[in-house]
Amino acid sequence: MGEALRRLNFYSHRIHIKVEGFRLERLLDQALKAGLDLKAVRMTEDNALTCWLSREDLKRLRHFAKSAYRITVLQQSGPVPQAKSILQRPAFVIGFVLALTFVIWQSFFVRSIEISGYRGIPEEALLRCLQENGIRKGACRPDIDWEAAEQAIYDTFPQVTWAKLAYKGQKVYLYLSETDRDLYQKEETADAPTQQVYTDLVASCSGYIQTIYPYSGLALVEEGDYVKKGQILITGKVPIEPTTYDEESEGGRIYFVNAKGEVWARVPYYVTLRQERYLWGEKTENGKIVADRAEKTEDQAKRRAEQQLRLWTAENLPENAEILKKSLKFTRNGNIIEVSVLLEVRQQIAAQQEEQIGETDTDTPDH
Amino acid sequence: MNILEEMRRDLDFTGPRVIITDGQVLLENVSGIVMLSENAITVSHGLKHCSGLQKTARPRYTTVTGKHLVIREIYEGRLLIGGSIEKAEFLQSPDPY
Repeated sequence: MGEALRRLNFYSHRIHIKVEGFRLERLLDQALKAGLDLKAVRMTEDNALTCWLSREDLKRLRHFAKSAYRITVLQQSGPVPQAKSILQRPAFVIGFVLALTFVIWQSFFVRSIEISGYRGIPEEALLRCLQENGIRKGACRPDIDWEAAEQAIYDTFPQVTWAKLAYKGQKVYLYLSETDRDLYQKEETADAPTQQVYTDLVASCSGYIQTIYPYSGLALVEEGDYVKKGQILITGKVPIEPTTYDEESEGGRIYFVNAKGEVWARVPYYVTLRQERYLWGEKTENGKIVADRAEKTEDQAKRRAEQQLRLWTAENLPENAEILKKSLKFTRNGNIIEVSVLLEVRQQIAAQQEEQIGETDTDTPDH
Repeated sequence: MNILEEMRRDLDFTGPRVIITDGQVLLENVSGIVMLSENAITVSHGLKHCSGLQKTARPRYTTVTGKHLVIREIYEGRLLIGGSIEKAEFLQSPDPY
């Protein structure tokens, strides 16, 4: 404890001094015996030294030094002298206090309002409701009745199931949760068709489902199923099954989401490639023409077919496609070789399809 | 050295004690500073009482020699010396008898 206080005393206000005189060791000896706390004692000249010590120890050292030694203060350091030097500049202090007051005073006023969680209610309507209850840009925060403002949101917008007002610094946050019940009521009225949309994931081509990962929405197919092009794989129309007797009496509800997911399928492709049957002007190694026309060997025909197939896959298959199986069948017909290719490709086949509530049923497209 | 011997040495506050590490020397039980310069610092550790026919007391000194020596701290009989240390010597005045 004593050591800690000694260090605190030293570092709160430490002074760098220069002592000049003969027999400096005698002064240091007296300081040592008196228990003075000296640091960084350095002989700068034959009859001069510099050291650091606390303000109280300097007074005592001056007492020992009397007129035999000359003590010069070189530098003062620590929070105490710095505070004193700051206080000696009144303009700076006044400016600092004014700036601090301004910052604190400003923090009492609302600078911006952020609303999150709304879906059907327009943001302007919510802002207007808040404004009517005293929450607007520039409003004094302590004057705001937060509970009354929350209650006003519940009263104004019946579809709001939960509302929370909070603030952080100068920013006011309104968190909302809305029910979809209001949307169904609108759906029933033919005059005002709803603009609510949701998306399904449909098959972009026919194939066998290999893996399906529905991130959002309800999967309608399983692994191993054969799906046709345009068939819904993951629907955004999710029925919520009632879990209590009370809710069951009201009937099931449907929740609309934007379907998201990954669907990988094995897709068969049938391709027919054609190539010339003969090679013209076949040459030997020394450049002599040995025959004007020569039939392609099986190896040459296969290489050409592979080349044509690479071009076809680059143009027709998606980037994430992976060829699992490949079979080539050669048929020689006149001057042409026909190559029937059967490819089995693993690729992602999910494609988004937008649907509208209340419009014509697009859930079952033509396959 | 057994533990009692070690404790006896640790609790001896009369004799000079010097701890030398890389770049600094700690002198303990210092009773006074005798000589001070940039290249050497000599301190006194008080008197050593010798028993014998003639009871005498002889002063003991320690000198630390080096270059650019700095007393980093002086407090409660301890001196922490920094700088380029070359050697530390124990000195004792000769027995007059």
